[in-house]
Amino acid sequence: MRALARPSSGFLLILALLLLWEVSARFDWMNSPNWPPLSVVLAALARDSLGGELPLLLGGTLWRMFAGLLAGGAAGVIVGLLFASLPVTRRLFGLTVELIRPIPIPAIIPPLVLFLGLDNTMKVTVVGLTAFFPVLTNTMQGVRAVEADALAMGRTFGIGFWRRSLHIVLPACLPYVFAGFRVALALALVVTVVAEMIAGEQGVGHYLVLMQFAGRAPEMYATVILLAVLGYGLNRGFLAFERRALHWYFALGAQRN
Amino acid sequence: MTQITRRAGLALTALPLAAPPLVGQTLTRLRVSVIPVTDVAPLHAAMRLGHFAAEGLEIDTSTTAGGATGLPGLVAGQFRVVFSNTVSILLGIREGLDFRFVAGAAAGNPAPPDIFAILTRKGSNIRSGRDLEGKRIASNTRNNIVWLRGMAWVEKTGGDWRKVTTVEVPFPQMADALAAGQIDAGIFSEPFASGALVSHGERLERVAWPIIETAPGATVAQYVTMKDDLERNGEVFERFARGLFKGVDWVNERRHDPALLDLITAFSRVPVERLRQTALPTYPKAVTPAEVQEVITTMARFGMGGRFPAPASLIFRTANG
Amino acid sequence: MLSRSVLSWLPGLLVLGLILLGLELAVETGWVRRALMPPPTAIALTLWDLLASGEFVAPLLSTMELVFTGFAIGSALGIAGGLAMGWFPAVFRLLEPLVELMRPIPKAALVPPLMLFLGIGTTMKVTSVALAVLFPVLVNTLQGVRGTDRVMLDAARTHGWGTAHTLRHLVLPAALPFILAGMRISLGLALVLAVLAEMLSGQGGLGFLILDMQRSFLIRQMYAWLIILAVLGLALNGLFLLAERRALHWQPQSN
Repeated sequence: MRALARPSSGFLLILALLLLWEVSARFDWMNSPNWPPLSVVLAALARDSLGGELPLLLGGTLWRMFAGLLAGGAAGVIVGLLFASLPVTRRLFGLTVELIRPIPIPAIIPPLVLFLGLDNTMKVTVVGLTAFFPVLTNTMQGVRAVEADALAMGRTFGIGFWRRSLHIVLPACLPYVFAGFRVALALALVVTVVAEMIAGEQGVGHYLVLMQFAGRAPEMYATVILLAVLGYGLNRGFLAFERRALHWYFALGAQRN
Repeated sequence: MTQITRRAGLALTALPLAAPPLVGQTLTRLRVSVIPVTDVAPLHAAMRLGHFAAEGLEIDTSTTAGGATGLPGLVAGQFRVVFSNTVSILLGIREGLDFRFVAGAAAGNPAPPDIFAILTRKGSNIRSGRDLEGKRIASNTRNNIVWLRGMAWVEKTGGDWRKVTTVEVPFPQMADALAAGQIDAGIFSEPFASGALVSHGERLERVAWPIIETAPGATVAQYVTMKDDLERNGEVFERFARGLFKGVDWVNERRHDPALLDLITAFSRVPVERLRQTALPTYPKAVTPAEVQEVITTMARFGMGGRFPAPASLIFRTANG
Repeated sequence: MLSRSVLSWLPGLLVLGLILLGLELAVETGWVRRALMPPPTAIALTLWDLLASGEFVAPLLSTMELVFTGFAIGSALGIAGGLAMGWFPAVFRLLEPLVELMRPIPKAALVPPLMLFLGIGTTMKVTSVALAVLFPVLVNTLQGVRGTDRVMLDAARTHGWGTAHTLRHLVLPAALPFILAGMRISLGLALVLAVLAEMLSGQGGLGFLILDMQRSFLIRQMYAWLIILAVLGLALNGLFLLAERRALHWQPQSN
């Protein structure tokens, strides 16, 4: 945003690269019909966006992404709170969680297809699994960082585990949870598109593969551009949301200092 | 790349629409897994013309462009019917999965132009399987019908398939990879074979029609379902086959008719101009024990042997022709 | 000491064992279909065959080579880019918009153009892994450089340290915890992208094998290879934590 107000060398660089794209394609330097000029790609993007096809697909993709993000994130927060406040739960289930964590998502999709099929259930689960781990890690870190006195105070006043977690621990570690969600957000978009590319008839990912197989390179690159802008926008939007949601937190911090 | 100004969906209004389904009849929903290729044109035609609705069926297709996820989805109960290539179906059967053939789908043509082609770089002097020994050939996937037919051609033309390196390259990238010299030959299926010759015609050439040279008119793909579903709901699949076969008739009467190309464009999104140069497969209704046995026998020659049930026991009565 | 650490692992292993036992019973009683989920004991036997025959070595090495090459290249570029962008405002202004725009593109969506430019071989695979590694490392390095103590920088200037010397001996060490955090995130991504690239390019490695086993309905083998992959991920993470502790060891605990 700030850079938009003052066109910098950075935007000139992007413009130069885009120009290089256009020129290289116009003069067929790549020697391939699969490298269309930028102008043709943008025309395809405009046509399929105005025609309503892409916005509809995008809506589906975003729905799956947010559903998975919220489900996985919520699970991450709950398990994180449990692991950090009741060490016995971590003792019991930590190893299993740690074993699942490093399995790359693309490798998890084939067996998940066997159990959950190819539709929303599978895709949302995959996205949820992706979102779960960053949020879990950050929540645990947050709980550890919560002032010991806040906890001690809760104990002195005899507040039970759930109320203590909900009213003292969770608000205090919220900035950490948000940081976890931000990491999860970027991963969730990628994973949603990957899952859509592999199976089913839904979303931007499927559109991308379909266009690729139909030999329609402009539409394919239009999708890539759309995803870049979408990811950029989501990240910016989340930062703004986070600032607003955490406003009271910072205000509180300022008072305390 | 040509601009496509006309939306594919609009083109379809040119097709005649059949009578709406019987009033008050509740439709049985049937989920079918397909691939966006010309092979499934009859299914889409039957849907478009209302032949399934007339049978009391509502067909819901699910496309997988990238990989073979249809058959695992069938096992998982996500689909009732799956369009798949014969080799993948038989590999599942070999591992004990109860797939049964409900209808034929696509086969090679008795004479050129055919649906599979082997392309090489001009001037590379690769004309046979023997020339390919020690070199790299691309298939979209190893262990499927494309690869099997390609290897059969390698063997038939004097090469040892074990000495030819198979590289998996997705069809859309195959022409570029071949032109750039990353592979020495490619087993293309339509519409990618004709598409590559149009876009890279000055650098690539076709050296063989592998099916015609090894087993002319041999089978490529079928529709399958699970055995227990057939035993419980055989009548549903009879209705499915009846509807599908009317689509087959419609397509067979209109090969290279603009109406057919419009239909294919609508579901595959391949531009009509490209489809005009594309070879269409033969669209059979039946599946014969002999054609299944031919694939089993060929598979055994290329490292995919094993114990299979008698082919006749794998074919449901709807596919008996 | 050792017995204590074994003891602390025991409950976790017990739960894992119970889960596997439950799965085994679920399959044996027919509650889960055998075609979808072979019993864990059958998978264990297949896994044992893979390990005993040494069949696992070549694909494992192939994937590891891809992960390490891509990780090394991506990290080096990320650190260099982050240092340059953090230190020279002109470089920052030049590259920041590009980085911000490139960062959110799903790398999986970049595979077709990457194939066009780099072909289908090792170059393509290494590049896609390196690209995934590059951005988290770069962003974290940038944050680390930004966080370098102003007072220390002033002191370095008054002592007449040159740019290279300051970067090497002050900024880089100060940014190291951030860089390492970025690298740790990237290591996970590198493995994911390596497996994805192997699945897409269909040659060698664990990713291709898992996909190939699934396509051929060799479900037991598929799970066995998945377990090898999970253990690889666990080992890589453990290895990195160890290296991180080493690298940060000499540094005084500042916070």
